Amino acid sequence: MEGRESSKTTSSYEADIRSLLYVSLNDNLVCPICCSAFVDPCYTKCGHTFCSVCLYKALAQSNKCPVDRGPLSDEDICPPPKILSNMVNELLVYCPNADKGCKIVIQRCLLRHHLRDKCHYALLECPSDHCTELIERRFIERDPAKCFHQPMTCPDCNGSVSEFEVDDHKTICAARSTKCPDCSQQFSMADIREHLDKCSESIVNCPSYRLGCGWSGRREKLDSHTTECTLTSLAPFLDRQEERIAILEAENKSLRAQVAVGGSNNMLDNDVLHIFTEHERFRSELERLSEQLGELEIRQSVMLTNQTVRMKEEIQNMRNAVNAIRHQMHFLMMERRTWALQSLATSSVLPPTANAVVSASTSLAGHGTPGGSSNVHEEVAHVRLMRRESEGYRQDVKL
Amino acid sequence: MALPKRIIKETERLVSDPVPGITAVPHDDNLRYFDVTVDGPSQSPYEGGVFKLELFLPEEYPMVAPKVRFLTKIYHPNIDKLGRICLDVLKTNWSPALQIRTILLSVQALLGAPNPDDPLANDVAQRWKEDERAAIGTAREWTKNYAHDAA
Repeated sequence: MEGRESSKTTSSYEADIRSLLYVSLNDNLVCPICCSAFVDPCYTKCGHTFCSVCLYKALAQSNKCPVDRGPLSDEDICPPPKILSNMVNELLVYCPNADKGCKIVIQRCLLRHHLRDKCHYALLECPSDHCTELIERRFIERDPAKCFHQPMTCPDCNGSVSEFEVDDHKTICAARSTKCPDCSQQFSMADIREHLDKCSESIVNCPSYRLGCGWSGRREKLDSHTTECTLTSLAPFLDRQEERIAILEAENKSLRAQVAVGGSNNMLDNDVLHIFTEHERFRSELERLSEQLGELEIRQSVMLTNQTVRMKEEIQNMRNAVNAIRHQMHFLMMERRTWALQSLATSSVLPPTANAVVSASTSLAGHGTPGGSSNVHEEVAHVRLMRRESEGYRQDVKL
Repeated sequence: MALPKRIIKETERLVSDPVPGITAVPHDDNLRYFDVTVDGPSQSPYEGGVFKLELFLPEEYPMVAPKVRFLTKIYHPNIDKLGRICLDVLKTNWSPALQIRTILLSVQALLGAPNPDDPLANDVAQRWKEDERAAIGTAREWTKNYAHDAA
């Protein structure tokens, strides 16, 4: 959290510090996220270093290390070794006002001080109470109370110019007259450039100077020299050669790069790493799936055996039931035959009362009162016994 | 908004030290928008083709991934009709330590290793699984028809 707080207070300075131009910069001191030298570096438990601001921004998007994609949280971040902070703070930088003319090269940690108190080209508020513009320090140093934003008239072009711009304006004012350094004639600034390209008095080098011709003299003599100069006549040929060499070199470079890609995979390190992690992930997934599959197989086979045992039992029960029914059937058939034989026998003795005997036997069975012919009685008892037996079978079936 | 230093540095390096088989040139009027060409990898159905892509760096870059899209028609299970690309490093696996050059290398690698099991163009992926030889034939034909005049 401390890193976040400090980043907020210095954010205006951060914007500048990332665009600084370094005298020389070691790649190891470059943040992989912003690609500039570390600013307020921090260190992760997985051993990577980033600018604090960059890392906290990245963590706000996803809780992974930007380099190795391992899990990372605020607690895994600590300040870097002191030596690293010192190394980045002591890197030499050019003053950001170098384009305005400041020639200072300074250690990065001292730059803020330089800009605040020293740099002649740093912008400060105009000392005048009525002016809200900014002005470079060098003007304030020249006259600490004066406002340099007062408009003036250029003596040459009559244009309106602020006082602080006068020096710059003098070098570009088109109406200003100036003297040719060679032929001493007066020209306006607008024409002098054109004149300098033509002035017959000015000293020029041979056009083949770059090829090694040492001749130099007044422009009016140049023509007679070039007709004699062997290097000038060779120049077109040499130019063509150079062009071809440049093309071949470029081609050679790209071929070399292709060979490098084919031979060693240095350039693809990131991708290879990525593919490796992906491969690992798939492998673990595969292991997990095969485990699950094995488990499922075992469960399936156990279920199957359970079911088979139950079905076997059921089949056995059915078989028993079928046997019981067969027995009963067999017995009933036998009974019926004996019954038929007996009724045949009795009908021969008591033909008219056969029906009565039957009814009597049924009533006997219903009331259980002894009487009638002993044969019939025995028969009824037997039937009862059998019925009880068959009930026993039925119970078996139910079980 | 001013262009971040990182984008300037990446652009400079893409020009001064280009990746073989890949070019990326920013537009003059929008330095966050790149015209990209990627050569089809050798020993793939895209070999010999030069594929045009567009790449855009959003305001939040490098905290979010660049947006990359194929402009050249291509027959590939992970690239749909509109040229959108199904690639993890462009979506969930983006990391701010990746750069334009690494992303374009990943796109080139995807051409060399199509993955029909994680498809974006379902019809292509289906065909790729059912009849890989025919699918590769179509990919080669499309490369010849659409990716050869790009150079």
